[in-house]
Amino acid sequence: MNSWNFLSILITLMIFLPIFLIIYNFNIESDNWAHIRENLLGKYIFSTLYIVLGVSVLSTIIGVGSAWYVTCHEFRGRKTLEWILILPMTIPTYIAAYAYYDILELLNPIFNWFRINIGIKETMMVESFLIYLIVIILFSFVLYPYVYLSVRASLLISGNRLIESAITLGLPSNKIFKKLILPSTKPAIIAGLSLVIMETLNDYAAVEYFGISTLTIGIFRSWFGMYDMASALKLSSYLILFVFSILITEKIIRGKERYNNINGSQNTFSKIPVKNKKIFLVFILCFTPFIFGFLIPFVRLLTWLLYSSFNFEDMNIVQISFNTIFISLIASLSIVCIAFTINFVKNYFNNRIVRKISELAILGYSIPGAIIAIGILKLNSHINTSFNILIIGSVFGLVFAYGVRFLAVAWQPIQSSMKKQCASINHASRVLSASSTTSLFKINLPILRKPLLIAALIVFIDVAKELPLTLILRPFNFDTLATYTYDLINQAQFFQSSLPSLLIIVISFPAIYFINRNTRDEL
Amino acid sequence: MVEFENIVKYYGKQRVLNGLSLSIGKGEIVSVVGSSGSGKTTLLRILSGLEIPELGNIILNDAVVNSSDIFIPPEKRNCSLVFQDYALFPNMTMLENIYFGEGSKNNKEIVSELIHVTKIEKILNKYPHECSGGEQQRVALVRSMATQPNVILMDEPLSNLDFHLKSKISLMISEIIRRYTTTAIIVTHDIMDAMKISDRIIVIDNGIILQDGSPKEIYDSPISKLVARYFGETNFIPLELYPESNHHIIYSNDEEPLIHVRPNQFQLFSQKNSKGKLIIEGKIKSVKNIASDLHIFLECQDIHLDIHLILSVEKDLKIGKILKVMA
Repeated sequence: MNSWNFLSILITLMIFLPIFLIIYNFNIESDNWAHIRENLLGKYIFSTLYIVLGVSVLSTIIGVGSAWYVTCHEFRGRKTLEWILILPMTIPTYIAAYAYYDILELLNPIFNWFRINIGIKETMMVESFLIYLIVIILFSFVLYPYVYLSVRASLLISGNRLIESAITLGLPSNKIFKKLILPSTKPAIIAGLSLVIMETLNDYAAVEYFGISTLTIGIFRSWFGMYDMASALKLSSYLILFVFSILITEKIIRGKERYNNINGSQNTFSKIPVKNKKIFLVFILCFTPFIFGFLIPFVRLLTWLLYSSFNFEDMNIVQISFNTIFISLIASLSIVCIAFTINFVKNYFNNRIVRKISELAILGYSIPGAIIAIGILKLNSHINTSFNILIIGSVFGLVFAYGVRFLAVAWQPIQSSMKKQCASINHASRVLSASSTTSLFKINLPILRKPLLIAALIVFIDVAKELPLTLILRPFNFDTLATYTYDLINQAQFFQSSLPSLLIIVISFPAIYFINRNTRDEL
Repeated sequence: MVEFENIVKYYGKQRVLNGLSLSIGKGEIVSVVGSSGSGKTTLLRILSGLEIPELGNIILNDAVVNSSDIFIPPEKRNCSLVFQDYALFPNMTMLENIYFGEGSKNNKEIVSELIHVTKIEKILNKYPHECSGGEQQRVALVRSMATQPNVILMDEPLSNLDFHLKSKISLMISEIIRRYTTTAIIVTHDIMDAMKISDRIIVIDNGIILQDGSPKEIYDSPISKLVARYFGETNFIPLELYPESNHHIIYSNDEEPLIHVRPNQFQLFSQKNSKGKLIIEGKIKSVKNIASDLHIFLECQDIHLDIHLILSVEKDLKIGKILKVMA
């Protein structure tokens, strides 16, 4: 085994180590566990399942429906909708939750009526049901773009031929959707949906804000509230079990199905014309997710900004913005370097062990940030005290944690581009006796510039938005825009929280635009 | 020069090479032909080191490059491979591509001559996407020859070219390989390409060698119906009908011996030249004029067979007419 292969395996194992430690320490003894198991665990599991199920159903409906209309139909305003439907991605779930903070107050008259006319117990049940419903709707409107993007990409690749053949066979629009589009985009729906579920499980601040006790909340309470590492580890193991069962279900459902890559060019994409009577309805249907997922929270934050009396010197917002950009930049560059190197080694040397082991490196994205943080804390407890300062409370430790969580985000675009563009030229380079370093720097790096930039931008956005992991592992007195927003909300300073919230969105905005433009061109 | 000894290769559960053994001498131009999935490309990739066989040894220039405990990586084998999609580096000009290989800069004289022979002088400063398929193909060939490889391997080198370019480039390939007395192994599914370029053809199917010989030998004397059909249209006539025939006979374990006659071996019957020939009479079932030839299907009721024949005659032959031919 050469040094490249050895290095790849070493990095992969280091990245997998925190996840391994959680699973390995599942049986560790804890005083509080009996209490958690008897009184809280059922509630945690029920809440998590209920929210995941609701968000899955609703975000699939919104994501698939909007992708179907804006990609396969022709109507006025379609091109604008195609782009603005992605914008909710710039809004983290916790910021959307804060922007809709007073929605419950609007419901107060209804609850009062219930209390007086039906009874307190029943009102509490209705209240609880409505809170879950609001959280489900809120998450779905912010997270549906994952399904939308995945289905749209699949339709752009193969939709034209499917639609052309269906139209020539005389199928009406609804039958094309039911009989062709839904079955052929099933793998894309499931791929997008699994990302929605991972993001839902990762959320901490939004569910905490609405007072819902999910497994992620349980992990936080165990660690932050009771400093009980053992219980946090046990709850994390339950969540990992849940996540793995989702991943396995995804694999089983997808089976051997892949994107139907029927040759066809998007330039000649035949679209179904929308009849005059339906244009308004279709436009409203596609515009609604944008209104609720982006426009309302964004306008609310802007309004709050106008009301807030911001003093830049007091708030240190410039320093915090710098921190966010700095940590996101360092993390995205390191993560892209690692993803690029491991993928190059995998592709170039085609070593079976590296191929198998590298799968472990990308498990992190399916694991919520809070769990990764607990895993890293556990790792820290095994390290000699003179070195553990390197991990906990340091920029290095935080970047390492982001690496564990977001390596998969950079991995996907790099891996697919390398497979598509570099597979045979790497072989050519080898048989021409060029060294691996020459191939890496003279061929792969220049050819993959664009996908590498896209991967770096995606990681940059994710790191800038990340809250739970940053909250647990950040260095002392180190704030990012996400943690700062969270702190301000905790102090009920809603108006003041608008500026950092808006900055997170503004930072993400150009990156999302660039990614959307380039990924569309790549298809 | 190149020895494959009992090579076994699996892709998943599928056995692609089935104990294949083969020996190729220095300076030979060998074509490996076979249908898709027969294992021909795998053979090239194994020799170049891009794939590792489960079993077997490979000897290159008297040195073992692959065995149960030895594996020499591709970059150290000096086996150049011309890929089906050419695999030119898109970020480099054609000249940079040509001089990319290790040691190619030491062979400047040969490279200049190759550039001249392949007539690519004008495109040297262009990028691959600015050039045609034929130009890219020639650059890929020069790039592979520039390192003066032990053996040059070509994977379907002509499959992406149109008919006109194909014949031009196939001649160029064989001329260049012969001029530099390089050993070459060419994988192709096109039998005409193989016959034009190579000294020797190896037919493989299901990972084993069916026949190994010169192009003429295999065309005229295939060892099985499969090989015969692979080399174009042909007729199989039971030997018992014409036991005196001096045509090539195909023997097999599960079928009676068959006489093998190519459609173009037939000619119109003439008493004068008919001695010792196979004579067939039948009713014309169909007749089609293709270029200067007549493609005829003859229904021969006495031998219960339809015979396909190609005649280069200007004669009015109508469906239903009785025709007597000999081969």
